[in-house]
Amino acid sequence: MEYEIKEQYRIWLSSVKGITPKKYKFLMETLGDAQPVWDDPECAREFLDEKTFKSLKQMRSEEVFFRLFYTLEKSGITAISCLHTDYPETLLDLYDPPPVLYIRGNIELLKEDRMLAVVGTRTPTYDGKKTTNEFVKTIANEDVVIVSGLARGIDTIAHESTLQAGGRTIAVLGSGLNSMYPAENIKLSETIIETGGALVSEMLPDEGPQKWSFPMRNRIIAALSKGVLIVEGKKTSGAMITAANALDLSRDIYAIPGSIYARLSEGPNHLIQNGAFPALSPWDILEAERWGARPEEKTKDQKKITLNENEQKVVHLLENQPRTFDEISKQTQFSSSELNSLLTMLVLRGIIIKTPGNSYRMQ
Amino acid sequence: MLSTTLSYGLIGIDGLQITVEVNVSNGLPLFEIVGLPDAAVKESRERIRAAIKNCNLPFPDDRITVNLAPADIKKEGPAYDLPIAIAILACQRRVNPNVIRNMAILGELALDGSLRSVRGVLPMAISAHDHGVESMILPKVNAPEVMCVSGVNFYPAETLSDVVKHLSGEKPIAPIQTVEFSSMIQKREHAFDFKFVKGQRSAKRALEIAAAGGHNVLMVGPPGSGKTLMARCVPSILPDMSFEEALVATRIHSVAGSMPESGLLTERPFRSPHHTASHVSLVGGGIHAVPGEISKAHNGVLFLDELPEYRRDVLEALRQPMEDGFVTITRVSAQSTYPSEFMLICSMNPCPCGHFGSKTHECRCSPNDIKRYLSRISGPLLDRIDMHIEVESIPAERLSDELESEPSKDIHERVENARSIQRKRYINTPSLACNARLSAQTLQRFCPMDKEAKEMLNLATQSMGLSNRAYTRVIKVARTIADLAGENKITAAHIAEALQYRAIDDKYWH
Repeated sequence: MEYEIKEQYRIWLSSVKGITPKKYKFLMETLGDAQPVWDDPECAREFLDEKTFKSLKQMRSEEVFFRLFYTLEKSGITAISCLHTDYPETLLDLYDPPPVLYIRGNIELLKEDRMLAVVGTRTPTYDGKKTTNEFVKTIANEDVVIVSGLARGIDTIAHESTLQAGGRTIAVLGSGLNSMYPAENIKLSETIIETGGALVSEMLPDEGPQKWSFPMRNRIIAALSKGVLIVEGKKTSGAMITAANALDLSRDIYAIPGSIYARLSEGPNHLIQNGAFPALSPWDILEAERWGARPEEKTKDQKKITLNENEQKVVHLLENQPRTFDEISKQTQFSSSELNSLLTMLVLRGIIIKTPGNSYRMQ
Repeated sequence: MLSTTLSYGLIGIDGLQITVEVNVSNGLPLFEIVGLPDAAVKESRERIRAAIKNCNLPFPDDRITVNLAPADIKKEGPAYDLPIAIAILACQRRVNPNVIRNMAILGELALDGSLRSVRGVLPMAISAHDHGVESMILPKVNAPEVMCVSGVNFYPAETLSDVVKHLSGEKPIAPIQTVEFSSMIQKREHAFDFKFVKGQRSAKRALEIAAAGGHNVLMVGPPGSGKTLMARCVPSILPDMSFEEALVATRIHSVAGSMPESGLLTERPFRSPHHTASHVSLVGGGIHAVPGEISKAHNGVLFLDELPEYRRDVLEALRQPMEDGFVTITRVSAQSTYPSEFMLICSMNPCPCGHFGSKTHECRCSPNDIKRYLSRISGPLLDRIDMHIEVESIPAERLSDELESEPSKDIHERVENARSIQRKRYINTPSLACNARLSAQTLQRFCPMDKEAKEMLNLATQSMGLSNRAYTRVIKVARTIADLAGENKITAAHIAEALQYRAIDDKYWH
């Protein structure tokens, strides 16, 4: 991609080590643009601490400058400074917007209006996985772009489910675009790009993940989207940081309620208590955002499942909570061999499913 | 003066007859042993000289030549001490040479003339019986090993003087009374019994099926869920050993020098090598090509706890013996073939931290960690394991309210019945000992299924994504389940139960 010369100086300045988004904003406001800093770094001396100024002087060389743009081109990454017209306006709501966004994939997608962030824990429960999958599929079907962080757990499921529904998704990374984290999601990230999605990061392409970089990227996730859906998470989780950011930016916050004893529902329940919108169905979100209308409630003409007496006993036990083989066996007094075949039949018919730890639950 | 007697050596688990020839002639005092003796045999010169003198018996100050025939096979160990000593005494007419000519003698001498135990007495005794030897003198410590061998008079002796007194008729030793095998079987008691295992209904049922069909088992479960305890209980429900099986198992243990006190192995062996075990210790080997753990587990159970912790090459080495039922070990100085038909029971955690799927603990492993952990066990090895069982963790509070479980004795009875059905069915196909040994060809013949069973199997293949290999394994296990129920045809219920034992293939794991 061709860059205007002024744009190039802005991108260069943001790449200087020690120039934080806040400092960058301050420099740009006082000096007007990035070019004066390139022409005469001395003019920035009074605004920077000694260490940052030293690194600025070091970085002010043609070699550094060209190497930066060479890397971008070679890895197919587009950089957009916050003064560029392509820069997503929603990010300017932040008091420290990323000076430069590095993007791989479909840039146009960032300007999209309908965006929903879906975030949550890295270790979801079975229910968490299921809800994420169902919600995201329905929402993505209404042509809403799903934004998430490509982390393990809920994030990964959110991206994957969007792709399953044939939708488009944006992944905001907590590391540079050339150092993917976690590594197991490299393949997923490639699929996201192939299907018209985008990978976004504010960090330099080769920068690795840092402890602080994940909370930082959460503010981008929140700012990009119209609303944020928190699926599962403890009170201290990163998803709650995203929710707090979304609150600052007055984005809509949706949370999926859970049992008061479920540790991973602590976060969403707490949010609901403080005024977040409890999302009981994907249509709650779609309707609130005016993205779609709930389809007419279909009369339930589901195939009636007929169960014999023994099967009923087992299904009745599992209705409220998952149970292990031993528990079922003890409660129903079936012999192990009887119960084994009963359970397999029910699994094959798709009425119950088997989960790790030799336990069973309703489909 | 020349005198000869017989003794025995070992080739693999078979005895080898050795003729001990001693010649005492005039000349400078000299004591030479020929016939490929190893160091232990050569050193016997010093033990023999001291023992004879310490028993106040005469030692000739002449030229003594000992030959161990056949001369081209290497002789090992100290078992020839006693026959050589007796033959030397025979040369001096302290013992009648005609008495010992057709007699087998075994024993290691201590310097004071007392007899020490010898390795591999049982296979030697069996060979002696086959060779028509009528009497055999052996150390008293080894006497229990030969109690089941009839047709040979065994004379257990404690010292060299006892032997001399016995041979001269001064104080004859009473031959060992043979003991009936069935009476030995009845006396046994199991230290581990399923009645002490609380809960775990599904795992117990699975182990019952495994024991009935001789299937290999992999138990997957969190730490402390009782996998090891249950594995140790398995010998108590396995079918009783026949006399032939017991003999073969005991021969192997006799050769390996790990004999039980009672003499004959009446209980199926249970071997649980530690996971640091080397290739050689598991499969067998060393300079003398001794049997390894898999052969010691012949006709019994080989238990590998924490399977992924074993070295990969060690596990891979198990594949061929598991398939063939024997292992051939070749070394420069020796080559031996040992039987290795065992039931493999292994256990592992579902993930590195052990709590994947647990209700009480949180699993801290990433999906990648779990994948890597599982991939430590190779596909070909998993293919040889018919049943994968998930063992659930039992909360402490539930342990107390469980009732006493079914004792091993009752389970054992059902297993025994299922085995006898199998024995009858495979009477014309000797290569098939139990259902686990069914091959793809014999499967068709011996596993008739009704229509519903076939339908269910097809449905399962599609919805559970069963591989071809898994498919045959399900049928094999279903065959055993049908045998336990005493039914000839495999029904849908049997297939349904067999489908439960495919934990590792389940989708949620991947």
